[in-house]
Amino acid sequence: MSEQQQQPKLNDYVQEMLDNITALSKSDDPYDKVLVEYYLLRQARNARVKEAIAKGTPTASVGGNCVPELCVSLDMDVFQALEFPLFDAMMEGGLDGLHKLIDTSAEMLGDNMCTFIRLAGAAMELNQCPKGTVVIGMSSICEAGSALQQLVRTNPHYKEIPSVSVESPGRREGVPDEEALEYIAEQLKNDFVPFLEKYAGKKLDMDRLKFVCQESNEQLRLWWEYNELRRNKPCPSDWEVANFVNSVARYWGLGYPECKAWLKKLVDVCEQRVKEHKGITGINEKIRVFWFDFPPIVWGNKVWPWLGKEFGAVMVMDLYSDNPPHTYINTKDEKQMWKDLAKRSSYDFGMPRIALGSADLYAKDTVRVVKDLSCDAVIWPGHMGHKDAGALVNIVQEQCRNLKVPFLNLGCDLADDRYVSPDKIKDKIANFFQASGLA
Amino acid sequence: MAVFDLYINKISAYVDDLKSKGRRVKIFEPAYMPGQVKELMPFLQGTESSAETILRSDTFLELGNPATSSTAFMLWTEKPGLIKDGRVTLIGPDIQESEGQNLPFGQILMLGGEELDEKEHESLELSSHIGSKIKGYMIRSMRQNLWARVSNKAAQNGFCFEILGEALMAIYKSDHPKIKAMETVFVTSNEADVRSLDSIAAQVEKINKEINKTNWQIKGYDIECALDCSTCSDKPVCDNIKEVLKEKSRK
Repeated sequence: MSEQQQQPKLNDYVQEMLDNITALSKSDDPYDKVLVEYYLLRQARNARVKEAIAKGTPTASVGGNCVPELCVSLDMDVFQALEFPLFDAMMEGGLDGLHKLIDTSAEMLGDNMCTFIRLAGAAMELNQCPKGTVVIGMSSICEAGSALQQLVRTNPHYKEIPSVSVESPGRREGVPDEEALEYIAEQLKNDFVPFLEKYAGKKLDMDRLKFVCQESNEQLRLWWEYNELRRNKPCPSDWEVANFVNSVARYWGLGYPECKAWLKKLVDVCEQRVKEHKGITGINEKIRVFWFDFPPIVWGNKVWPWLGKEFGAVMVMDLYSDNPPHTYINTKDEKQMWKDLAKRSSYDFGMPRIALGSADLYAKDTVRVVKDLSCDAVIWPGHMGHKDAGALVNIVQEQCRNLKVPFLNLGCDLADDRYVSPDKIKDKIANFFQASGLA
Repeated sequence: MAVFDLYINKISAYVDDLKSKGRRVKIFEPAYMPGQVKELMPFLQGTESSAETILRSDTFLELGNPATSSTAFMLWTEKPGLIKDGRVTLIGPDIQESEGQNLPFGQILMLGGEELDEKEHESLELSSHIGSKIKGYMIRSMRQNLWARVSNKAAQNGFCFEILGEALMAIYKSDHPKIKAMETVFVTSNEADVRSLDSIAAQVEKINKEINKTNWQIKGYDIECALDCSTCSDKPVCDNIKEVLKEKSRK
């Protein structure tokens, strides 16, 4: 049997991904080279985490936002429960593998909760989630998230893993009050740190924590810088890369010098593209879209390249890559540092920020992003996970009306491309562009 | 007394206090008659149709970077007499003398007009998104924190806080003919001086929230409902829906 015959046939999803990376590798464009570096970084990180889990080196499985600064300071890698099962399912079976997992999750947990949470729950029930040293979480940013944390504590495969979570009081004024921040800061210091120290097998070095917080600030600054560049017409970088930046700066790359170097390189390359008036390759930008929710990471690449080519449509921002004023951690004042960490982890980032705030934040974010990024349209994906957001759709629509920007309530699933197919989504958005006079 | 009048007085006391502490305070009175904005022309673009990004390499200075302190808010009153129309007050160093620096930044806009009221509040807030209306000046984030960049080119052309204040006044007055008087205060002296505005900013933000909440209520929306199902008036409706879904799944 020849070597070629011995290799298993790759599924379409993996083949497409590899073809894309191969094409990027052959390109002379510095932007493409930076993207290849991202894939390599991600691959190395995945391998490192998997190895750590296999060897029993301290790691933390996290839900929601998780004060990564504390874990990294104690040399614990962080990963999310769903991350590897989802990746493995798609690597092994492509979209069919994903569909199988989605169907299993619906049988186990019903089909009326967030698909990602449901997938994580199913993967846990199937004993597919890697078992880290500890599980950490933040409280109730959504009911499904809370259900997942309860599942961790009752599931026979995971209940023995020590877990901790921080309780974040909801906000009534849109900004957390001092009392709430002190309450969370106390939990971090008195509950989180001793818990993590116990399982990391080392004491928290305050100088190390300060250093990691400074690194975190610097990565945040680079994220801000990158997002500011996306204001430019044409936008120099696309939504998938924005999602990479978000995950590196706020999650798995935090505190790692190579990740900071990558962010810096990306910003440099995008600055150069702005100077050269270069937009996204192959797209003559005409319509700038604000995607008002989590970006469509599973099926988006079946929709957006086509919308770009057909209408010059570019997703210049999504709600989770947006850069609301995240708290800059003040490392000069230790008391303030804990409060800043509390605010950063509990109130600043994407979902906790808006879900624990008032609807006014949605309205204000719409205005800020539409105005600052010169958006021509707002698309609300309307997936079933964010039911709280679904209740606010009219407020955002009203705000868009004030701004004279057309608004589409799309209706789709976060991950299941059979619920509304990419072709149907393309059709809906195309009709929307045409009906609203944008195309 | 209108909702923000107390805070307009507090700002006046704040400026006096810093003066008495020996801070450098410059007051620019309007040098031109209303409508004569010739000096602003190089900086006012009139539209925000093209997004302008000021790159790091083109930056003369930053204002209110998160590594330092920053605050910004707007106060309005229906008594224009409380406002010194056209006045720009600067506490601390000006743009031209701060090349390459990251200055702490406080910005207070005070607007007066007999016809200003809570109904105007939302559209007044909208004007704070100036986009690219001021050439060479880019606001990086909004709401209470204000982070801005001034380009090298703007600085070379003489951009300073007096011009920034006048440009903001021109934009607001053009957007809102009901504004009869407008005054701006900028603070760049040090982090503590900017932070000492935080307590006023927090109170102003609370008032803003209440006004916005009421304005949304008038439109028929409650933007701040209880997060707890047990206290929600719509609970019976949700319960009904759940029952229907249960029934549906049984069939």
